[in-house]
Amino acid sequence: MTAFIYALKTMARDKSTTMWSVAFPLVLMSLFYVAFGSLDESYRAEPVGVVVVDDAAYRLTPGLAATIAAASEPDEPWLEPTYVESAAEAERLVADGGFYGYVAARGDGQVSYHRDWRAYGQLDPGHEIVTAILDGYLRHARLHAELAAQADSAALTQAVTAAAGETPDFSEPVRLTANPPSDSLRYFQAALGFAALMMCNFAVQGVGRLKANHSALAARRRLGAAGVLSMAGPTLIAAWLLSFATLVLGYLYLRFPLGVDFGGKDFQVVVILLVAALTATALGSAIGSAPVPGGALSGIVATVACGMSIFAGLYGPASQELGDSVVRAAPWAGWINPAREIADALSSLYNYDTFERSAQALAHLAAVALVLFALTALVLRRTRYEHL
Amino acid sequence: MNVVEVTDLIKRYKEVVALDHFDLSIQQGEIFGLLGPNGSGKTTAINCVLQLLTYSKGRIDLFGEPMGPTRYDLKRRIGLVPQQIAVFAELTVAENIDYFCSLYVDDGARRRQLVDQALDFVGLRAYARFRPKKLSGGLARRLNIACGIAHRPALIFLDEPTVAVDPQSRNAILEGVVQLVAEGATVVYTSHYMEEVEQVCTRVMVMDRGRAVAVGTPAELKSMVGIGERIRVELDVPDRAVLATIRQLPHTQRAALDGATLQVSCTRGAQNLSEILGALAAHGATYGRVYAEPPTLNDVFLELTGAELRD
Repeated sequence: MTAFIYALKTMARDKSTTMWSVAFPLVLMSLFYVAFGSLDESYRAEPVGVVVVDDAAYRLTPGLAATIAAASEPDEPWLEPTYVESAAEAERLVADGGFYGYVAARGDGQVSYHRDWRAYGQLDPGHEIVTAILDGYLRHARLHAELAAQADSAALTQAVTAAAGETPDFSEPVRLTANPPSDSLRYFQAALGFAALMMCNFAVQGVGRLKANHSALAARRRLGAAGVLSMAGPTLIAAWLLSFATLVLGYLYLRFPLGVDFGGKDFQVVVILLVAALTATALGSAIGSAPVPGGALSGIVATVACGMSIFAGLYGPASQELGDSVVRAAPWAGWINPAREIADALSSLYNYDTFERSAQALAHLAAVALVLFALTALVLRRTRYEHL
Repeated sequence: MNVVEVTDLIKRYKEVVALDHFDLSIQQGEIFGLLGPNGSGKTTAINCVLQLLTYSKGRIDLFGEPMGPTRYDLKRRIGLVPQQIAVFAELTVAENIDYFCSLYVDDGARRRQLVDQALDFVGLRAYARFRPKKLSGGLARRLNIACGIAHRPALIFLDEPTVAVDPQSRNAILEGVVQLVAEGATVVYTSHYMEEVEQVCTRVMVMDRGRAVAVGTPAELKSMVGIGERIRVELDVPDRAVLATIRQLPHTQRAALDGATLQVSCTRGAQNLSEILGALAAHGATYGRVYAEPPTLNDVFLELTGAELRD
């Protein structure tokens, strides 16, 4: 317990490690939020504000009212109508701004759309939306009238005109994923993978201080009345806990101040981060035990984290396509890349109803962690203090 | 019983033989000085004894039992104060001592006592909550020592513990070493400061090129190499003829004129000073002050290892 507490203290108080493991990922997430946070909004259609003249002519054109009502349904609205009683009032509202134009029934079955060219340009898609909806209504109305005029049988007329006069449903959205697709979320999932790999620094620092040939401090520790692996245990547990706590901090930062939604499955995300931290600790312990000078280790961590994050899709569409094509060609390349697997676990959690796909990714992460821990143990046991 | 017994130890770094059939015996209660020029094998010998280094051949026994990398029962009785200050920069003075003590002592209550005693022993009680960066060089050295001795080891290796400290701190450290031995410890002490080795060590080994060149008490070493006193005479007038006469004296080892000061290194002889003064009188040379200094360990060291520069 004493070894664990002191390992925790030394790691948490080390400014360089804290900077690279905590501050740097948080800054990176903030930058990603600024760069990609509004990506989804840019693809989302906003309802078009129009004024509707609800006068006697409008009330005599029931198909029009039904069409506008259907286009304004709250779950996926295309229009945001504001009803007034006269054309004069509608003109005044449009002139005040905030509306694309106003819609009025002419009494002869026709509909007029008075556009506001000053506020919204001719090519603004809002005008196209209003026009398409009104054109749709007019086509239905004309078909209805033609059928009514030409039908021979009263029964046929009744059936056909009823069908033609039905309120159009436009389209029925069918959701294939558990949550709506999000282009920006992939960046944040990859950013958490990257952040996890940067947490390697905790284990690198801890294990580096156990290598007898690394420093006089390590040599002195190796003279203690305990084996190197029994000293490494508390150190790695401390590194794991710190990595996990820091990852959760990063997640909470994304989740609340920045408002990034990971599908509302917070508990499962925390489980994924726990395994991610374990793998990061294992990777850090393997890097920390490598026979290279201490100063080079943080550079190696940064290189590994940045390199693996390419295939997790951290750097944009090209990076995402590259990562996807590599994994399609060689699935094992994804399994051995913790950044990719962490991002995949989070992505699966968001897109699938069950935890199964995420669990598969976590199993890969755990297997990689086991291999790396075994490698570390092997190297540490062979380390001696071969120079002074 | 010999606390340390090293027999026929050979350590090679590729083609370089760092320890060449090296033997070492240290008895309980000794302050054993290990001297040698840079690269002579002192630290390699210590690291082999501590199992921080592998070795090609030889046998190492500590406390009468064979030492090995996993002999944690023996390691528990050993303390190391390395030459470099090997402490955690992120922990306070008290936390550092407690941490290193915890490598040997599991009981928390007992450890708190030992940490308190170590703080008092090295005089760092007032700095217990300081981080090592805030300590002066001397205080940091004292912390380095406290971390090595807090668990009350029976055998302590002090590798140049007084490097870069002021005379006050050096005195405090040396007094501490003597006190540790008075309390029952055995100390292996390496240093390049001959005067402090001479001051505290009961026995000394001079090493060179991986071998033990000489072993004994400081007095035995001085007698072993046959060095006598060093005599300086401040002549009123420098005289080359006098110098030639002095060089002819039977116990003169080296003689030189440094300005008007005649400097003579003698071999062991009962009447060296009177012979030199007699020779001066015979030449009619007059002089002011005369100094006669007994041989030092430094003289012995240079005599045994040579005066040429080492790496």
